Amino acid sequence: MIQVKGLQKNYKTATEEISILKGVDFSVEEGEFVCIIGPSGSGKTTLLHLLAGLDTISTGTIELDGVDITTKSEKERTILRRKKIGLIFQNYQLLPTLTVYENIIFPLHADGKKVTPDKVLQLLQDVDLVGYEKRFPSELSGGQQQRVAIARALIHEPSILLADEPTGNLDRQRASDILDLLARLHQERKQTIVMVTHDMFAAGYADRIVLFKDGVMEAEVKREDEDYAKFLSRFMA
Amino acid sequence: MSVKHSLLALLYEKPRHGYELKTGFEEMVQGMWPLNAGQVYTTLDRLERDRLVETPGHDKKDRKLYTITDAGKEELWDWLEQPVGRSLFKDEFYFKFLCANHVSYENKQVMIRNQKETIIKDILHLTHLKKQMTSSHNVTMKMLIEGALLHLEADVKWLDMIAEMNN
Amino acid sequence: MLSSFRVSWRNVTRHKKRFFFTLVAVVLGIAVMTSMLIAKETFFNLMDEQEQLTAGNADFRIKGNERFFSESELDGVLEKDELAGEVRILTKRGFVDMDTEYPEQTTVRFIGISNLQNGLIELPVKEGDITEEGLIITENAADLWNKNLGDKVMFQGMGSLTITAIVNEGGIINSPESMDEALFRDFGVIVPLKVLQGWTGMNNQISEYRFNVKNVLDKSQLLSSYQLKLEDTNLFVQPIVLDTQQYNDIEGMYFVFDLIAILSIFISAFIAFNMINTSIVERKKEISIMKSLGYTKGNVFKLVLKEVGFLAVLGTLFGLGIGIWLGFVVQDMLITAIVTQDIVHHVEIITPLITASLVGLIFPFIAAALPLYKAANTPILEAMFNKNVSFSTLNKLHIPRIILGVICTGIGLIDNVWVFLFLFVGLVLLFPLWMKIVQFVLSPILERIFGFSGKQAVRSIHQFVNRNANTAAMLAIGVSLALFMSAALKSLPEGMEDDIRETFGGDIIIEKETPWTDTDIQRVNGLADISEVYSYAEIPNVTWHTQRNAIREFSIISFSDLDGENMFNVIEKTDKNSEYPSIYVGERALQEWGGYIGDLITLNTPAGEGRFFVKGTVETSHYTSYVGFVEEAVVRDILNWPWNYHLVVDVAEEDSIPIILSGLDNIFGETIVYVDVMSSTIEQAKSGITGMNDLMQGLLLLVIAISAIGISNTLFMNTLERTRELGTMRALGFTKWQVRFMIMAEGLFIGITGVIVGTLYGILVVYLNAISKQAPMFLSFSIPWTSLALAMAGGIAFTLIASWLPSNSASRIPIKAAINYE
Repeated sequence: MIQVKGLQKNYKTATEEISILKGVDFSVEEGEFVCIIGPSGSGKTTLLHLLAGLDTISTGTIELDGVDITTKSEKERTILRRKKIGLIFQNYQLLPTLTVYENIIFPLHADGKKVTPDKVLQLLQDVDLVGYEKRFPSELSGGQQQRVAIARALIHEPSILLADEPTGNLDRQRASDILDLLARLHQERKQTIVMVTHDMFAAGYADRIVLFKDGVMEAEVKREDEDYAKFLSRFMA
Repeated sequence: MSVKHSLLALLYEKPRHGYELKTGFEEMVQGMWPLNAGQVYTTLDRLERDRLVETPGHDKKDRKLYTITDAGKEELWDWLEQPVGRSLFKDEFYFKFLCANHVSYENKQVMIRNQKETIIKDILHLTHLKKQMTSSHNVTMKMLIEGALLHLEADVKWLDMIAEMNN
Repeated sequence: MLSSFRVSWRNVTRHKKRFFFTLVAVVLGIAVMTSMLIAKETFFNLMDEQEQLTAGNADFRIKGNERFFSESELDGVLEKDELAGEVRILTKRGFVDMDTEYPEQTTVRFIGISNLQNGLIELPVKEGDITEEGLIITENAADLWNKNLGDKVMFQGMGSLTITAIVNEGGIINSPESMDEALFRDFGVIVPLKVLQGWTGMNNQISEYRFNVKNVLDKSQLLSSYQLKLEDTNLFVQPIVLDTQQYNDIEGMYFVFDLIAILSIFISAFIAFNMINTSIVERKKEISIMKSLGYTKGNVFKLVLKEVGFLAVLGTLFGLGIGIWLGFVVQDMLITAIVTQDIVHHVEIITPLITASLVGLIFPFIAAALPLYKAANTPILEAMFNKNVSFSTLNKLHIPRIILGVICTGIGLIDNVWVFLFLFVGLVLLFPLWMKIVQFVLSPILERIFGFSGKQAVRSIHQFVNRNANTAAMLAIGVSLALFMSAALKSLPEGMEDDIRETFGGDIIIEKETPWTDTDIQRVNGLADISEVYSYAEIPNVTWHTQRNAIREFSIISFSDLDGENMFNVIEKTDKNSEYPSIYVGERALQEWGGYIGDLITLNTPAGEGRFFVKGTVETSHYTSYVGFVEEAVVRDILNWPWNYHLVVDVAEEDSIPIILSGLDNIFGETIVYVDVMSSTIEQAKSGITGMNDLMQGLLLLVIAISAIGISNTLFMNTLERTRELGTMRALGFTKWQVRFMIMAEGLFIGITGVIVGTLYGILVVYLNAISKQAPMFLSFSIPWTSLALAMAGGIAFTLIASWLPSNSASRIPIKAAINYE
């Protein structure tokens, strides 16, 4: 599903060149729920952005379904993103001038696709926001906003869901609601999920946890592995 | 922990025989607290002695059937109403930590790490359980797990704190 | 489905005040432009129509070098079979029978016309039938004489005739509007030729013969053949030409109209740019989210274009509406100021509307080009996660901007009518620089006046330096234009009076039907208080071709001695000589012709076609320099014009002019064709300009008002972006008044910078115009101190008014909402 090889990403600042990713090899199976953890500045968010085609890489390849997106133009990457990828962000990133309904259908609109009202209704039910369609984001709580964002990330039925600290701005209770929702949707829809997080509880939902440190993938552990908890206890919180 | 009161609660629901009480109990706690038959019967004997339950007869398979008495109901209500305090030393690790300091135990970091690992294991287990709970709609149990997770979160934070202090 | 129009509308109106002010600016810009286009087009058409009416539909005219000639002289000149139509015309002066103390009010100019049926002469008929034999008068005459269709009018010593038609002013006959005006103007009437010939005892005598030819391919060849036939006679032939430039110098006015139209659109465009740019910068995060969700550059383009579309369509719709109304107002003021007669005209709307709506629909998009580019290229990650990207490319382009500004300013200094607009482009580009300089001086003063608020204001000016600079630049352009215009309008009447005084020739000019003989001149000299009398020749209807082969006509005036000449000033002449006779061409005529001093010009004169050497160019008040001057000897020998019909009288004492006039009237009476007095010519010229003055001041006020709207808009944007900051200030103990002072100080800073820079540029433009050889308005360099004070006071007053609203809304920002603002 996702194949990352020898990925490097450098940023130029006024004075020096900073290496954010220093050669990452990483892959995700179809339907897998992978969590990326690591201290800030370790490059995990950058990797997620690169997977989404939001940024260009320095060297290496990123294959989504066997297609190398690093050789694609910005426009091609955008179109790929429209079809294949759902994005969820820490600060929701809803469009303030659009209603809940309009926000959710935005990816379809961008792709010039028709909206199936049933599908939207189904999603609204899934994220428990029926009756909120006409509200604007500013009229919702953080948890509700993130649920809108999740619905928006799913409306075009992407095969890959990329989530960047989806619970980072929420309190424990709302965070756990959002994670439950994601887990449930994952069970039902079997998308591939890659989630970057700081939150150990969030990591508890994953099938596999990958640790990033200083721009490289330092370790990974699977749920069924013996030292899963040991792994987490060493690197989290 | 009161096995006694949970049995009263089960009997309040409907009259049951001993084995039914054992399975009912395990169902209630989602199998997380195994109860052996002997424990059930000694508890039932004590309840009968205190006239909190009685045995009006046997079922078709000739098993002894238990029902709750008025005094039993009263006892159950009293228990439910009674608030539960939280003792500082009820948590055994607290006590261990206290003792370890007392004897100037050298391997406190290991001790803390092991404790943290255990707690994370619990967290993962409970998270996994909750994930299943989400589909089975057992709301009460889900709430209990949430509560436990909050406690565990606090425990992890505390462990990190003392780990830092003892560095 | 997501209705993107609704979403765009929501985006556009997200900040209602800002949208409203921008819309008002766009509407006003389009309105001013529309009205200017309407005024220009209408006026242009009006002039054309009037000329068309005067010229009629004939192809050629034959005239004599004497006032009248016998119809029989035409025999044999024209082949009957090539003639399509003809009309004979006799012009005479007489008096209407009317009860009045002033005989001057009764003067009538008769035009006897042989034939009104064949359409060679066109008349704007108001009522009646011009093809019926009878008297035709204009509506003014009908009013003043109190006559209607079918009434009889009596003419002194001639006879009476029944009115068969009344026509509007503006054709070949005109009449004074009031009895006061009648003192120095004739009533124009048309009578049948035979009747006029009978009344005046001039049987078979005519003054002009006009005719049409059947479809002939080569009219110039035909002209040559006629010229050949008329060689060595005292008759000459000329093609009939539509050329109003002899009588109207309105290119200068057109130029001003164009200038105002362009600048108002320019200023509107900048205000639109400011708004769109700000809205893009504000929304860079939203745009990046859209892009992360699959919007391509093209999608973002479309989104923003739709929003700009709202602005363009709404602005154009309202702008055109108001513009049409304004156009009518401007047009009315113009007609009153320039034409002085109440002539019938219809306002030209269609072409201006098409032009205006095209410009109106397009310019917001041009203004949006740069923001649009920015929007489409919004970097997703930086904008989305608020990494501190410097969005404003203008900030980065500082050095290139200044270089470009210097280049534009350099281009703007080139002496050309339109190129000087680059000066303003340069002004805009260089403005951040000027702003820094002004700030250096102004900051301590503002800080002293407004205290801590002033200090903060100066800082926030810095925060949005480009937007503030653009806004101040717009005001500067308005102010400099106002200054330039008032300098022009102030120096124009003075310049005109000087022009007329210098080149009128004397105090009085009289044209007589018969040539001025020595005896006549002696009799004039016999009158009291006469200091000098001399006669000169004026040859009308001399035709020529421009370099672009358009046919034109002007008059040639004779002079006797170049050094003692007082009807023109030589601007430039060549030392070279030529075998051809020399001519001094008025500078407007030279410009129209397109040739240079030292070239040869071919003229159709009473002597036929001939080549002349352009010896120099002159300026004169006669026909506002659309004229030629030739030595008297040349007029006599080469141009076949033996007589002088014009006389210049110079008086010793201006007070005695009325006495001299009535003396002249006594002696020459009905043979006088017209009398021109210098002082009344000056007065007329001045009154026209005064009317223009009011109009221009009104328009300039509008332009400055548009700039002021820009200030309001900018301050609204500045405060909106600092809502949180302002709220925090209030929370930390700033009073409402301190906040208000701060915003006012910001506005004042923009205003003062605009006024100062505008004043400097205004003076520069006035200076450039004064030394310019190309400028259509001839003005001397003088700083218009009153206007300067007015422009400064006005600019600052407008600024204060414009800052009031934003300061008001800023001071009302609730502390709590501001702090929670996101």
